[in-house]
Amino acid sequence: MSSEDDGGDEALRTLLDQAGSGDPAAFNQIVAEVYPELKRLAHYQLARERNNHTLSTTAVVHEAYERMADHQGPWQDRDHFMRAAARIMRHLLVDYARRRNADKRGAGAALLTYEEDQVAGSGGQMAVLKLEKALAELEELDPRLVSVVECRVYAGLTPAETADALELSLRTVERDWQRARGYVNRALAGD
Amino acid sequence: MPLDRKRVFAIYSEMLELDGPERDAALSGLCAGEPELEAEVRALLSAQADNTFALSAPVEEIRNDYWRSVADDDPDAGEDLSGEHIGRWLLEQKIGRGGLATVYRATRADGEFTQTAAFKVMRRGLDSEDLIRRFRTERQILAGLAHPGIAGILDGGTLPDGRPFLVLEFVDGEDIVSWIDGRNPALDARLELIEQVAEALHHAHQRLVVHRDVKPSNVMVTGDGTVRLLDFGIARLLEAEDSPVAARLTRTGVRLLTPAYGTPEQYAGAPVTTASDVYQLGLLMAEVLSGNRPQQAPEEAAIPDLTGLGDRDLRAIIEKATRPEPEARYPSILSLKDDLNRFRRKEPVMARAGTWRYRTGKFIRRRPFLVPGLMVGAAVIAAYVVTLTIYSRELAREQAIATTSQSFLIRLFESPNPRAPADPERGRRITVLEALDIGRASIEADLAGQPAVEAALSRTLSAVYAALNQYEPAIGMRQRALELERSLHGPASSQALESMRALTRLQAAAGDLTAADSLAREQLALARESAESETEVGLAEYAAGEQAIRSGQAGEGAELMESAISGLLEEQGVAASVDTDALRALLSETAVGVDPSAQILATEALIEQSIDADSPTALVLHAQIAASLAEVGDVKAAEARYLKLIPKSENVLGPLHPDTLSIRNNLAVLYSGEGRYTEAEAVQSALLPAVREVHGEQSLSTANTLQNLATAISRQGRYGEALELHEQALALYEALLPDGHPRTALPLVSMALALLQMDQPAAAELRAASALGRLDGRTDSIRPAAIARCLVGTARIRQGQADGEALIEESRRTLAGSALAAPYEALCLPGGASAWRFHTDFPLFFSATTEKEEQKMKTSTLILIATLIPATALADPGSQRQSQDQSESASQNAQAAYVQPGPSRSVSEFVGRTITAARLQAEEEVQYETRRQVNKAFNRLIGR
Repeated sequence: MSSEDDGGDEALRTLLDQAGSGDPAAFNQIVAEVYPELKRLAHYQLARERNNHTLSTTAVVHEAYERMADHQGPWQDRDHFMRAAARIMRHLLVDYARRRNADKRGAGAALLTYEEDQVAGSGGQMAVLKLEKALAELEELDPRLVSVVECRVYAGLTPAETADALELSLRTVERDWQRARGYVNRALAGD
Repeated sequence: MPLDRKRVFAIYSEMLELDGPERDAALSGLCAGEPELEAEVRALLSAQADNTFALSAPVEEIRNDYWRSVADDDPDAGEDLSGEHIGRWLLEQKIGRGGLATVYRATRADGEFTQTAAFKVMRRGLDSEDLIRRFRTERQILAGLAHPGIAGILDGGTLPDGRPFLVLEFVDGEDIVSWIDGRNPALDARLELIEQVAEALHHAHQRLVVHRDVKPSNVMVTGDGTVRLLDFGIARLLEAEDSPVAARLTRTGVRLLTPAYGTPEQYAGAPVTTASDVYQLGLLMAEVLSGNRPQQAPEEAAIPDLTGLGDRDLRAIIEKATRPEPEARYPSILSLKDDLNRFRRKEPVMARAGTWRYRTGKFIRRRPFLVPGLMVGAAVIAAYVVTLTIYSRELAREQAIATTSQSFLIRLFESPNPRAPADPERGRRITVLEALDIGRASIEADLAGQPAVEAALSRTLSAVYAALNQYEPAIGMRQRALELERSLHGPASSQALESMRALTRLQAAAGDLTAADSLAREQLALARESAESETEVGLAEYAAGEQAIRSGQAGEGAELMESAISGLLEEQGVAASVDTDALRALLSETAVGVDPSAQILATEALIEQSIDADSPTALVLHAQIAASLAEVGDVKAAEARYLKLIPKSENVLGPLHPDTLSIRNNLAVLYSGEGRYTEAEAVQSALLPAVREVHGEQSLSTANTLQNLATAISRQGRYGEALELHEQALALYEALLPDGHPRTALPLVSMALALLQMDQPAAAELRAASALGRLDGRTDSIRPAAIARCLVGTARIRQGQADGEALIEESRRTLAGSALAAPYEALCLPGGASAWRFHTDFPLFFSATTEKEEQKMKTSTLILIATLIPATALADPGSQRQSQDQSESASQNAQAAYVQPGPSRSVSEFVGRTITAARLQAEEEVQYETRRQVNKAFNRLIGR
């Protein structure tokens, strides 16, 4: 997996810069530290759960924080970290989905002949790309909703955790989530 | 006109706050005249009404997909554990990456002391069951090896993700070939290195471990020119040859070899034995001497390249080591090393002697690539089949039993794995006893249809239970064994009779003398009527005699035992090799009660006659003599012998061999017995770290050493120091032995004594009472209980409690006539005969013997011992199962048999240690009882 390639990193940085921390440099540092940690944890957890090949992203993110909390990272606090992690996860998955989609269309076909079956059977990457498109639109309408979706969908946080991470009331998160849900569901249905 | 998305979204958001008719009304109002707007908002609202987030499932799918790709994609690329703390270890730097594992340099991070180590962790993605098991095997193997030429194991465990890791001694050096390249040493120095490798391999082979991957990168040379053998990663226990794991690895085609050093049998998929290590040592020697890498054709074994190596003897040695047929090579590493020594002494080497009768293959070896590989392989396989068939016909059955039993036991002790779902509640802290119970429960289910295996295992488990003083299950298991043996071999078979004898003893130990009596009679009748041999009758009489004495029929008992001994002597005198087990049983059952001076004479005669003076067997016999000398009171001679033996044993067996440690311990015990406590302390405190290293901190040996050391210190009046060590011993005993085991009372008794001497009677009473609680009422601890009672009484009197007198009086009645260690004697038997000799805190030895009695015993037993020992010594090779060493002389086999006494070593470290400890304990306790009984019997015999 080559998400570290320059284009990917650049996109990630931009994405994070938009996250509204007010300090892009700090966010870049978060990316530099959190990203490899997330990948590492993913290895761990997958090794542990080898048999079913599923992984709880929430567990990864939480564990990443626990492990990194001692290191005095550039994030201000746990909420900040969660917010960044959610955005990083979104980036990773979108990037991954794009590449898988490109593979499916034939780029790098030579490498992926074995995986055809698997790829064909998975609508996942298309869904992620559609979601990304919807989120891009939503970003213009109400950026806060996008943050809520990131936390809930990509980082797998509960509404309460999302409220903490985004420093919003639980009621607001619930309302935002409902609003976003309608918009995203509609965007997908409308295609 | 396109809709204004912002407006649509704003209205949609507003509508979400409203319900039903209210919402409809508001929406109609806001969208009046704009049906498209209203339709879009309604579409959003209905999409929202669907409670599911449409993308949750696909996103989760892609998420899993993504994680999988992360995992599949070069698993270790991102991994660098440098800077991590794992257990007590701080990982500092990645220093290497092999096919299976990544190695870090690590330091011990718990502040105890600084220690650098190599931290080896399995690579990610490789953690399949087989490979994890291999990692564990490496750990077990290394734990069983202790040699300066082998990088030892310091620690091990699992990472949070379940991958196993090993912490090994860090070897700061370079591999042997680089070392040579850098220094270009003379021939002698090169040979010296090879000899060091040979010594390390010999050590491993004695423990039935084959390295299987001897090659330059696994042979490190440190700055001072000493060699360390690394990487037992694909090493194998010889006896595990047919284990399911090994079979599976072969079947699935996971071929474990290093091509440049692959041996013919590794390529042929034939069994890999110590002969493989001989082969690889030959290759290594060629490379070290000539500087040439081995030659290799694809898919064929590597062969040495001797270009430029002029010396014909050295060429012959290498060629002999690297013959394609394993049985044509040197039969052992030791014989290769001997030949090297001959070369260095300029004597003719065996490799060139005609006796080896190596005829085929010279042509093949000279032109290796002209001969099709298949032919070589086929020859190897054919040779193997023949060898194995001849050798193993007899052993096959036994071997199968041993292997199955072994893997069963391993499984048994793996079951407390906390990660295993079977019983999550018990977790890691499961005790040996619980593990045994689990095993007992599954024994029938797992071994259905394998009655021979089930019988063997039932016997073993019974012995372990008995060792843990769990007589009920011990009897149950042995009864099951008996049942199976009766149907397998017949009711009067030697196996069934043996079980009946064992059951007799178990019933007696459990306190059911009636049951023991009737069993004793039954087995005796059965043996007399239809036993297969007179030996069986003798053993039956002996067991019945023992039992008769136990239940108070002294006259009958003595008669039976006399008949048994004369019968056995006659029978075994005629055909000494008929039944090794019977001989050994007879020796162990009778010899312990036999007069020590007779043993001395017998063993000395034996050593002179038939045993190489430097052999391990001779060593142990000498140690036995020393112990006997100490027992008959010739302390000077005993001490002189021990002092001579220790360096010899360090040399022959190795400084960390358990027997070397035992000899040192015996010397310390001798010093203690003589009141030379400073000397005893010096020996014990030097011994302690070695015992810890060899047996581990959590071992009975460590506990015993702590207890002995503490006693020596206590006797010098340093009570505070002693108490601390006794505490440590107590903690270990309590952790390792079942609740209430009499051994756990031992440090408590010692502590009570020390506290009395420190004038702290209240604290002393507490300890003594606790000890008494553990000992009272046990038939095997009558005198220790009396001592504890005496200490309780003394402590109470010193606190002004008059009831102490009665306790002391009660204990005196039991102890009268016993030999006690001086301080106990002073407290509990004031005015008691000072003539009693003492050896440990508890008297377990002979009652006084008059000179006349001694003389009688000497004559009556000398013959017995002299008859039995040679037979046993010579019979030992029969129990050896190293197929590759058939041609070795009997004495070499006897040595190996001694150093590697039985299959138990190949069982996992834990099982091995636990069971060995348990068995030793059993022997110890049985010996005590037997010793007493036999002694009584002899006294009776002599008295008539």
